[in-house]
Amino acid sequence: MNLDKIIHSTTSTQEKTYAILHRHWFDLASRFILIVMFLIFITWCALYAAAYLNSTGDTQLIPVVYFLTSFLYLIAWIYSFFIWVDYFLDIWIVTSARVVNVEQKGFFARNTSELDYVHVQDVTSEIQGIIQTLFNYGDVYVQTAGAEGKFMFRHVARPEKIKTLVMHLNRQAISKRAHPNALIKEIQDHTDHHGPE
Amino acid sequence: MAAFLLMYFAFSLCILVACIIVIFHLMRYSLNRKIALYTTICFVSITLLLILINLYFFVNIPFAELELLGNS
Repeated sequence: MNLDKIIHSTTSTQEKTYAILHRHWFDLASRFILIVMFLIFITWCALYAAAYLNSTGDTQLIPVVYFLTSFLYLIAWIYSFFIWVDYFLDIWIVTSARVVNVEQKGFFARNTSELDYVHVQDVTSEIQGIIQTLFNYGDVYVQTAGAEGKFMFRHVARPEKIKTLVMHLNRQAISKRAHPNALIKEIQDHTDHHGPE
Repeated sequence: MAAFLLMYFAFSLCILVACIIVIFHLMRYSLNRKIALYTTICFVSITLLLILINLYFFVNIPFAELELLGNS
């Protein structure tokens, strides 16, 4: 899957991509920090256990300790990549025509939803807490008139700018929609006043 | 010893399945082909290294001495 397949899945090929968003890096880093702390802890435990077994003379168990440590390292490494895949494959794309939300839910569930700007009713950005304030990331909620109900950008950077962008594109879409009728009315008024040409 | 070998084989199988799942998702769903390729190469190389280290430690476990230790 690449960007072209997501964006040009409909007939529109004039679509301009304004933003491709992932969750903020701090969201990922906070989970990796826990894994790093775990690895430091098990390394310390392994070294302590090896030193203790050396001092008591039970050296046959030292390879078992190292084996279990390397086993836990391998598990932690693969789990890190589970976290990375979950982070990397959650994507929000803001284009000139719509918002696309691609959400990876676990490994065997993937949701892709689209929202046209004319269906946008309300956009709210939310930054909560010290960490989000310091790093300027948060949630953007897009209230829609469609079946989806609420569209959510979760833990994205600069949520206020995204909110402004979506509102601007919403107004643009609405005025484009309004324009054809206004144009037809103007033509009709002109024809009524001046007669057919 | 046979029980340990069986357990290690089952563990290796689980690791292999997990790796296949990760690689499949990276290659299939990544927006950018280059990023998908680099992350896959990084993942595979380090996973192989960790597996080899783990295998080395497993092979060096003195099972015979541990059985004697367990029996005594």
